[in-house]
Amino acid sequence: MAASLTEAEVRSARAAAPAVLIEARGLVKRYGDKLAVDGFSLQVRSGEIVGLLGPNGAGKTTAVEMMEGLRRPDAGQSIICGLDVHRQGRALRPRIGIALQAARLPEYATVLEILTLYASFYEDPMPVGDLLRQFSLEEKARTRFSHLSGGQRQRLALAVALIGRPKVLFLDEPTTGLDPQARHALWDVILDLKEEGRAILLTTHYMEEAERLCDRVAVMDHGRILAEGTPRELTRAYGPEAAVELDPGGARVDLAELARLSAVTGVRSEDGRVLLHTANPPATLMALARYAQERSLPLSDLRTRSATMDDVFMALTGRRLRD
Amino acid sequence: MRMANQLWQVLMLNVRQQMRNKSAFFFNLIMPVLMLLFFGATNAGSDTVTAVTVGLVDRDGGPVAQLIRTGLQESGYFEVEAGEEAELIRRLDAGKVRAVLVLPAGLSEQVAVGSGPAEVIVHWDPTSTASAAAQGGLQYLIQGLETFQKEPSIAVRDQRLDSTEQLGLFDFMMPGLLVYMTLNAGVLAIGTAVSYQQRAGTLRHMFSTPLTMGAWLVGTVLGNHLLAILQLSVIWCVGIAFFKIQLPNNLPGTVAILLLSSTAGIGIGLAIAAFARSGETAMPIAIIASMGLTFLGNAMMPLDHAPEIVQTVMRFMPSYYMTHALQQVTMKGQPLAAVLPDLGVLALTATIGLGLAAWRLRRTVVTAA
Ligand SMILES: Nc1ncnc2c1ncn2[C@@H]1O[C@H](COP(=O)(O)OP(=O)(O)OP(=O)(O)O)[C@@H](O)[C@H]1O
Ligand SMILES: [Mg+2]
Repeated sequence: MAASLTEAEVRSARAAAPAVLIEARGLVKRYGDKLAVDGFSLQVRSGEIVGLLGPNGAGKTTAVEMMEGLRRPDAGQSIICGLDVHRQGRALRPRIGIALQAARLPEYATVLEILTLYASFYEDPMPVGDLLRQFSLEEKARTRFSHLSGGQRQRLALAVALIGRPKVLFLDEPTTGLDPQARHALWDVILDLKEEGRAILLTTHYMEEAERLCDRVAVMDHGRILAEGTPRELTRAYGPEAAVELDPGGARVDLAELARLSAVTGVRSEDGRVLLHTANPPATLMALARYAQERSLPLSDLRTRSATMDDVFMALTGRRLRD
Repeated sequence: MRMANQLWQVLMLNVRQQMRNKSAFFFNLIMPVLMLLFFGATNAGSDTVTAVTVGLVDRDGGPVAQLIRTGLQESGYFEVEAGEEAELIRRLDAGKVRAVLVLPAGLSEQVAVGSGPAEVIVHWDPTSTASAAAQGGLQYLIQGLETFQKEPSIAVRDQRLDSTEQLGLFDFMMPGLLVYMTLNAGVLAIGTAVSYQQRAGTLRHMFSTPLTMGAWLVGTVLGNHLLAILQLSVIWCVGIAFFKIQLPNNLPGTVAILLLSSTAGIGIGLAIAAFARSGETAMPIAIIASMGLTFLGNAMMPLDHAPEIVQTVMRFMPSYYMTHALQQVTMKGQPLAAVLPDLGVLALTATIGLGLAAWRLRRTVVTAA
């Protein structure tokens, strides 16, 4: 209810707002003719998780690595903890923790050796034993990296990113390739890190991850941020009221006819299932039941759900996240 | 203190990589030992070369022939088996004799008259290293005997003793093996390992921390040094245990040359890794480089008799200077001062290689375009 606040109240609320630790200003990166990142601007505050959500090739990694100082932008600026990444990289490196997308740690070294190695790079590293405990890697301390499971590798990568006690964390697809259980466990760890007041920027193409983990989400495609806000703001602004999913059980359905049903705002079919976006779920469900009865469609596995980030992405781009 | 720990950690990273990667371990340590055992077992039983059987076809029957026969027998390195040329060549083919010396009729007369160089023929089998050695030995000995015609007899014995050097298998082998091991570890093993780490993102990850290029390079080079010293110890212990090889004549000098060679080798290896497009190209390039350097560097095969062009190429190989320095200092016990030019070439190679690698890795790994 911003309208009810006085100007002074707004100002003091701003002053109390946590510091901006990550700031990208108009970053641009061109590869040949291709604009991989096109005018990327973003802020992340202390104690905040911001997610970059986008399909493969959207430019997430390119944008993040320009922010980290690992790639040189063609234009724009990246300021981390008040330091210009490309001019003051040396001073900055000790303050940021980075988990690169799918980077492999040294194959022939054990978990303990890797942590000890990385600890030696920092002035005041976290005790290796604490990290082993925090990431449940104690039993694997003497296992070589090449023998770790995917989830253990991701946990180790996160532990390595944390060794230097960074205020700022960049996590590029931290949970890709994990089974749901391992993913949920890692989410808990990342949420704890946020509670400690760090600024975290992560990339993902899992809408559920964006919804559950992120305070704010920037939806990205073709190198641009299409929309930005809290998951709730985004679904409210761009998503349908709700979605109805059904399995026509192999029977052929005419999508054009479904689109004409009451309150339906969008239709698509995938993997044999049909998805209807609707502005009024009860109205659509009634219409759908009538439609099915007339054509004796089985209508098995009928589900209604509220809109998701995936629906937002669909509304913004006409494509799905996992194309 | 922190820097020392950092260097130690990077050093150990590389040593572990080399010791735990089974294929790197094999080529760094097992292969050279096997080479030593094979060469040693097939060519020699003790620290000196055992007598080699050579065939002698004496169509001369004169004093010169007699002189040669006695010379061969007294040298202690040859056992003489007289016979017919055709039969002896068959035995050469079968490996029963290592070379066949044919003394033509009228040899003594020709030498006495002094009418131009008298020709003797040595048949040998280039597929056998023992035969090649025997052929070299025979040539050397006969040249020595020729001198004897003009000089007092004591001079002959000196010349013959010198010939042990031509035949002393390990004189040639130990420096050669050291060069092979050093190049294998630096160029091939580290080169491919670093190229892999680059491709897999391991290096990018490490350089996204406060780790500096300088610290990483120094740690990596020191790791290779530790490996070189381990290699030297292993090969020499095996040599001593099986073939009664002596300790290097100038041990500190040998270690110094070895460390410089190891730095040059890893400089070449890192430059290859840094410039190769991918791991798939780095591997063959590293193999070609390490093999080329080993074989064209006078290390595994003597190139004294190689064609001119090969000899020219040889002089551009840093490994040639490694081999030469090791032969002089390790085997002959000369001081380092005697091989300063060799050391200079190695230091230059190391500087160029490491400099190029650092320059390139800064642009590709530390900050990508
Ligand atoms: N080094 C490079 N050279 C040329 N093109 C590149 C390079 N890096 C990225 N690109 C291109 O830029 C675009 C964005 O790539 P980027 O890796 O940033 O996408 P992403 O959103 O991280 O995708 P993913 O979800 O698959 O990780 C892609 O089209 C990619 O092909
Ligand atoms: Mg990516």
